[in-house]
Amino acid sequence: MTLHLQATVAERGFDVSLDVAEGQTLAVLGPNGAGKSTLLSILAGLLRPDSGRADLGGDSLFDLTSGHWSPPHRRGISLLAQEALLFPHLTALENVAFGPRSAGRSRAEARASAHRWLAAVEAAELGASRPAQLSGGQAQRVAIARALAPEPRLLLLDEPLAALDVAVAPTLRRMFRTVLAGRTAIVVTHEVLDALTLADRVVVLGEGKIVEQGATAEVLQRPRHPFTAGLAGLNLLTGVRTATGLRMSDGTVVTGAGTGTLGAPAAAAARPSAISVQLDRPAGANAFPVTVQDLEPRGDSVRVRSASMSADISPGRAAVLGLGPGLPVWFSLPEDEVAVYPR
Amino acid sequence: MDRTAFSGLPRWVIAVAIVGAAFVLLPLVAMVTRVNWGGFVALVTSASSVDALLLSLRTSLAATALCVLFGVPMALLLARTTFPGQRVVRTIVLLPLVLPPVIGGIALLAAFGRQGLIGRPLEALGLSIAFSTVAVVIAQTFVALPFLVLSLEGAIRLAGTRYEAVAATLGARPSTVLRRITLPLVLPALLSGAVLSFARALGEFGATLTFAGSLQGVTRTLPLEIYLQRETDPDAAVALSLVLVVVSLVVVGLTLRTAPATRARFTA
Repeated sequence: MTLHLQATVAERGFDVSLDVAEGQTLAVLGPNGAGKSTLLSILAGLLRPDSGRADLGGDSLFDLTSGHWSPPHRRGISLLAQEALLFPHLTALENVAFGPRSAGRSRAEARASAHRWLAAVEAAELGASRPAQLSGGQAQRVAIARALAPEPRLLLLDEPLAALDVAVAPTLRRMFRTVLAGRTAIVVTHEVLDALTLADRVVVLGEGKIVEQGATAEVLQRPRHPFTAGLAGLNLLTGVRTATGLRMSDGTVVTGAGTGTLGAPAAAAARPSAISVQLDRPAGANAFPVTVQDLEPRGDSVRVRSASMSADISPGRAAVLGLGPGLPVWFSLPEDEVAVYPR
Repeated sequence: MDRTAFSGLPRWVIAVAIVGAAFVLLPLVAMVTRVNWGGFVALVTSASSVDALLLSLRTSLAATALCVLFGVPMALLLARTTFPGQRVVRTIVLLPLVLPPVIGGIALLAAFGRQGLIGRPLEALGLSIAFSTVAVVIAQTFVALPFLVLSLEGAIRLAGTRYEAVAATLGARPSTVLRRITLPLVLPALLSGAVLSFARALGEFGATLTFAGSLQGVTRTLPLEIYLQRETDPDAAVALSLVLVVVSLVVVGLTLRTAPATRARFTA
């Protein structure tokens, strides 16, 4: 069920064109308001774009040049949201049976199918419960079973783990991994971990447009957009490719090996833990004079932020340096920690 | 009452509220003191009383059914769509709520009376509505419909469209979504709206008298019978009034009881 989509929504500045190959899972990342939910609503048939077309496995979902619009119930696309949204007046089993029943299956068939799907998400014992009696994790499991029971051709997941306890999220993440294997799906997420564990490819949206896309590992290791770099926990240094590395727009020169043609836009990513902080100018390349903006404790390290990049150092080191907001310091980055790539 | 809850009400508010409650309660108590208990059973089981009571129950049930039949789609349309002139439509739909019932009766005569807009062509077909039991049901429906629309529209709005959207993506057609999701979710409001409509229909007087007249067994409902008896047999009027008060109390009690109970089922 290969998906092709091209759609615009002028009011929201949304203009996206993307493909998902059969059996692949696409992660959609992006800041709030980037258009992630708009994308899912358009695909599910809940929001009509101004223009565009989409088809799934050869069947047209909509084609606004000809005015064709397939309503949500005829698309075979299930949507699983952050909240489980189980129908409160039905039992868990009836919730799961709802899809097959709506597709015209007999009551007995629909119930049998619901039992199977509940078992598949390890919620067989919850069938008789009302949604109000379920915990968040249990409800989300039932919601997964309910979304899968109609055997959708495309599964849309809208931050499916965001509303859950940290304690139950790992179990469900594992379950999603099983569920998504071999299935055509789109997962909207804030969590880089979800993208890594669940998705084959990643699309990053920013202000309604795709700002970067590619294989998950590739995009996360070599981000081109500050949002992606932030998600991946990397410093992003952007500029123009030079013979020795890249030159940033403020004239800062970054030295390191890499790819790309001279003079072309380039980027380099650097781990905050690879950057060290000194009060005096260190010897060698990649020494950047910065001003400390703020300090943030992060587990066993302290993140030192400046306007352009961040460094992670030990609390002891931070104390020895006497760091505080407004203090001018030097950030230095070993050359072999810098990989330059085209942007 | 929850003992730990802080109400923070000044005492004078409580005092004024008690006076208000007494104002409502006192006339009812006074009426009960006037009841001729010795002849009560005979008074309320006289042929004309039983006729009136049965007619009232029959017509009120029919009117309630019509209110549900037309009110549910109206409430859905008002809550879920936007169309030009929607505010005007809502105002007109709710108008019978504040209109003196006599005026409703006159309007109904103008529409369905023998010389009325629709009444005249119907008359030509041999169908006469005015001064028939059908007219009673029409009058009751006219005044009771806003109660159902009003309480249901609010509930539909409050329920939101999120569950319905999920149901649609699971493959449910719009009619299935309405039947299996929307209506069950607003069932408490639908029930209380229907009960209110029934109560309003049961108490209908002005529009019925104007549009349907007062013919025993045909259009003379309980309120009309009570008004008539008051002239000739005040004891019977009081006894029948008590019957209507009890029926109304049961109806209101049922609404108050079902509403929170159903809510608890969803949140327990």
